[in-house]
Amino acid sequence: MLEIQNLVKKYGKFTAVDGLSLTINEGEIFGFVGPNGAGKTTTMKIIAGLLSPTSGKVLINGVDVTAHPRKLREKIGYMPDFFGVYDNLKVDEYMDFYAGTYNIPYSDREAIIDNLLELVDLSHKKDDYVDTLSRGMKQRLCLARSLVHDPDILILDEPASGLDPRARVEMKEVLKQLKTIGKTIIISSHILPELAELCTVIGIIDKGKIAAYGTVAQIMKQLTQKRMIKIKTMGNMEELITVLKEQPNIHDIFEKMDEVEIEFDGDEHQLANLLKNIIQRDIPIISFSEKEGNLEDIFMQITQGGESQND
Amino acid sequence: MINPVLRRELKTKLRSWKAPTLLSVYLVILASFGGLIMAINELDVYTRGFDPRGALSIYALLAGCQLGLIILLVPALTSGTISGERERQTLDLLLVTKLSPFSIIIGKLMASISQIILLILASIPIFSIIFVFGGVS
Repeated sequence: MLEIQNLVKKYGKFTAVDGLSLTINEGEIFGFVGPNGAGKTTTMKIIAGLLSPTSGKVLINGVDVTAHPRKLREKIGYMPDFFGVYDNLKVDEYMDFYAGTYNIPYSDREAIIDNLLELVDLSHKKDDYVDTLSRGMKQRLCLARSLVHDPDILILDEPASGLDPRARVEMKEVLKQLKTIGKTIIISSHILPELAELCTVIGIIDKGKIAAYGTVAQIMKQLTQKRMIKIKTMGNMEELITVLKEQPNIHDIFEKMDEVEIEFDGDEHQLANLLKNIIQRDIPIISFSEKEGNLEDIFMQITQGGESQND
Repeated sequence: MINPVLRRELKTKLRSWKAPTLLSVYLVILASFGGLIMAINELDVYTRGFDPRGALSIYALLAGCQLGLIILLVPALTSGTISGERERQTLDLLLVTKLSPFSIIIGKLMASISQIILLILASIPIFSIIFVFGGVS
């Protein structure tokens, strides 16, 4: 279990992390979302033991990270947002080097490296030089590298940044596999939808503080009290609108090209009743669905103007 | 187990074009300096040809040249090793591992020292030419 207690990190006058508290349970995939400069990387670096906080504590299974950084290194796998690779080093030698830095005996290395390269789908590149790999491959290799000592907690700082859509999907596949293995993963991104389907819990950070916390559904609910319902009809739209105007709980009606969108503030029973009422009035409905809350909009709502101030 | 930093450094250093270039340039400078002092020795009008009495001082001059070159090379080879990791953005990856900062430095230092030793070993043939002429034992 990872516990962050009232974490503060100041760079001179600038406060990067401002009293952040979090608890991440074992096996959870925690999505850390926020605009650039919100304090994601700083927090992750503190957890990884690369930075020491100005005040506050990070506890892993009750052990303080800042007090015993060496002890906890083998429990944490860290992948930074920007990283380099060495020239003139082959993929398996690269993995072998990092296996060496964790004192893994020579005899065990081959099996571990083969397994990890298989996991990130780089087995066919084993004898290639790391500096010739594409960005997506380097990213996956770095992920494999951070797993070389079989850590319990994986900290991934924007693992999908700078990747093309295909490489993103591939990265996501690998992360899903890790999820099934049961590792605790902390993953950051400035793109919320990217994390939505992967994470069990999401924390939105803005200006060094947690702005929202919970599962994706909870966050959505927290922020959108009103549901948007899309209704399509085969018949006359005017007729539908007149019927809708008579119904309760409807906040607003928007007429779109071939559909009607309504803002509905009732619960599920009332929503079912609404549909029943419309159908009873002989309106040929062909589609009645809740509009997927746009995560991007929510994200913008929470982190209003954060970017321009901090960057 | 060998220090992993040392292992990696040796592998990558010798694979890059820099290592053979450094070796060649080093040997060319040393050999031409050796050739020059030998030529000066032979200019002596009274002896004509190689004067074995001067061999010892040729050897000393050559050794001095070697020392000078190494004094110039050591800081060039060592000073940038840690900051190079930072520039390449690999330092953080190294710091989160179980390696202690001390063993990182030792690994880097040993890698540079072994490169210098390689240069010294490669210069042995130049020094042995003097033995061919005699005068030094």
